[in-house]
Amino acid sequence: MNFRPIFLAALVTTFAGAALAQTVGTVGAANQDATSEPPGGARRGLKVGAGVVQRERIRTDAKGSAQIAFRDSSALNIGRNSDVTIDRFVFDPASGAGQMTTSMTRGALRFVGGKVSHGAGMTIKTPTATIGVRGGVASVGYDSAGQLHVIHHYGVVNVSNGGGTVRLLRPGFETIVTNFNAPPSPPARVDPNFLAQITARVTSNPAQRGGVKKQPSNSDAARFEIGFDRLGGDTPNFDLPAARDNLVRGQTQTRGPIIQEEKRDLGCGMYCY
Amino acid sequence: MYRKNLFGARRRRGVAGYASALALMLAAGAAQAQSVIADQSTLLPRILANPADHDANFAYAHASVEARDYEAAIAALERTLFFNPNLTRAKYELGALYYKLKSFDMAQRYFEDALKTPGLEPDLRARIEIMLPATKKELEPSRLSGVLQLGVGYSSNVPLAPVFGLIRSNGADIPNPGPYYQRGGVNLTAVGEVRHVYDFENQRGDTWESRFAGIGTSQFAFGELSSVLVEATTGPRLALAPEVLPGASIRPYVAASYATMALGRLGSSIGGGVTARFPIGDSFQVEPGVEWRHLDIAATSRFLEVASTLNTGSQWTGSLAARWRATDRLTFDGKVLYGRNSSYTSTLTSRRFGLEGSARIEFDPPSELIGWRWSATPFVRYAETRFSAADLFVDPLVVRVDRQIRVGSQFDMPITKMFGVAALVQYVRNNSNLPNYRASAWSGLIGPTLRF
Repeated sequence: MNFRPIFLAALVTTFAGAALAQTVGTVGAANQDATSEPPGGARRGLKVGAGVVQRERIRTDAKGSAQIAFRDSSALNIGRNSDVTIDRFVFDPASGAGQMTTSMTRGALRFVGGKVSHGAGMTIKTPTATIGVRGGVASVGYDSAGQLHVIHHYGVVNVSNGGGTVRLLRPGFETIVTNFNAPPSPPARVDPNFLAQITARVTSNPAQRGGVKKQPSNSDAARFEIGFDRLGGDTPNFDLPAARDNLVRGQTQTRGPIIQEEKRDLGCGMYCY
Repeated sequence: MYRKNLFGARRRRGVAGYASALALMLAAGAAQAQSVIADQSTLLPRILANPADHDANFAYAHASVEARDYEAAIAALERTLFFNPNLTRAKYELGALYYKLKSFDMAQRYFEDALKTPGLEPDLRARIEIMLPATKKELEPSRLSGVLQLGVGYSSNVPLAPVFGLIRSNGADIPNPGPYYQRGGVNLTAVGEVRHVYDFENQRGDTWESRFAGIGTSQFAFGELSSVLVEATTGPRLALAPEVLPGASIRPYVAASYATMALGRLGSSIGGGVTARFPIGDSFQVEPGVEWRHLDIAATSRFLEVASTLNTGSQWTGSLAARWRATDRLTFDGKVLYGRNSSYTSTLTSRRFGLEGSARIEFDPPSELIGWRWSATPFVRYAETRFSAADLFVDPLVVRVDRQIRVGSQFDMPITKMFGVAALVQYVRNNSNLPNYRASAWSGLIGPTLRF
């Protein structure tokens, strides 16, 4: 019997009441104009470091963008002209289990997963489709024609609506949803221009600084070894000298009074030793 | 008998020593992983309390990379880009992180974005010039890559001749009649591997993979032992139920090889096999495989040319390989294999058992302007070959058993985008219950490499 759903339901029930007013995350960055509206509260400008609670609604204008950092290490980058609500976030740090649901009615966002999405997954509700992100990274956004693009970067992404379900498994592939009753398009490579556009929307523009006075510098990053990573090159195939040695050995070994050739290890290939 | 026991004891001590070293490295890898996870969990609350704590963000990103929690590192670095959109180090690191997640289109975006940012540091530019072409290549449906090396080699026992001056003949030990005695020598070696991957561009990630590898050695001391060995394999790699087993794949393939010695045909093989790859978690994978080949050994003009063709036969090999990426810079590989060579005569028919282990240790090169990591890969390989029947020409009462141990290390030092230096040093010892087959040699190879 699979106890996972029961455990999760119990966890959700236990924490749900307390969690309503509990801070579930923090405004990690905010470019104005980005505002938030907690349930029953007044609309306010987003400030870096401010707490975010469940059912808090975040809206941005043509210059606004924000990042919400959650307690499970996940992050939601909210793009310009967006309207996003943190419907539910439940997380038990001890077990790493939890639940997370957000809604987006317009704009663009990038979700970068943490512990919750590695378990039950994270759900993004839009008017045209429901998106499930499990253990991964995904970008979601509307294009100028009003079509919803769901772009897979890592993990597994399910896109469902009244027309059916599409599962995205490969980074760089996307599905496009035109309306709730039309099935999501078959997975296909994302248009690089649209990817560039959506990436630019979910961060600061070159003149913005995300709501902080002091900007981080490259020398700050260098102190923590950021920007020093390298590729490890493919190593030359050193099975081949071993195979060559075995050829030689077979050629020169003696079988009694007459020197005779033995050439046994010819086909050792991947199994040379 | 005494000698056999002596060899056995030495072998056991040697294997135990390498096993201990390997266990220590495994423990060190695990301890390091625990430490960086602890760093991560203490830094996250600090960031949530003050997301503008830049030191905490960078330290957290660094700890997350070390823990291979690449998503957490991406979240932190994309936050720092909100604060400073011209932060080229964060852009470069994000490109590298998305590359590791195989999200090559995002990696390309960040690398290109970093290149366009004013004031890009020379060391970052040098690394991007390596990373960006590699990233673009991954996005092409048809990908050709390879690494070639031209090197100078040395072996302390070129013909791998018996270590003692005696050989056994018809059950009696006699002086080695030659012509092959232990003698060191220099050689010129060209070794390379070219791979082609055709991507079917479907969501499953199915590809067609081909590999061509070869080695050519020109011996100065024993010109007649100059050899060429080439091998090719080709076959599809098909995803196995990607929704249920992400990353798991199966690869049936056909394989062929051809060898010459002193420019004369030595023989060829043709066959095929199938391997499957199963990732377990993010850092472990196992790869079982089975292969069959028909070996066709040529009749040459030397000595008993008809007898040499008796080696013609078939070869079965089953293997189980495993890989563990203990940290971002430390990868362990292991393989156990079992095989059978069938020849026309039982004296040339044998069973093989092999055990291999290696640790690839990657480290930063001495200059920041070098865009690659360097690596050292110490390895140990043990192989046991048991023949089916005694060879009457050698000793009618002793069935040959060979135990070979090969230890060494390879070093890879790429320098520019295409050129570098690689080296191999190894010691091979073949212990046998028959003196004819006991051999040992130190050997090395060093020379420039070409990558594309």
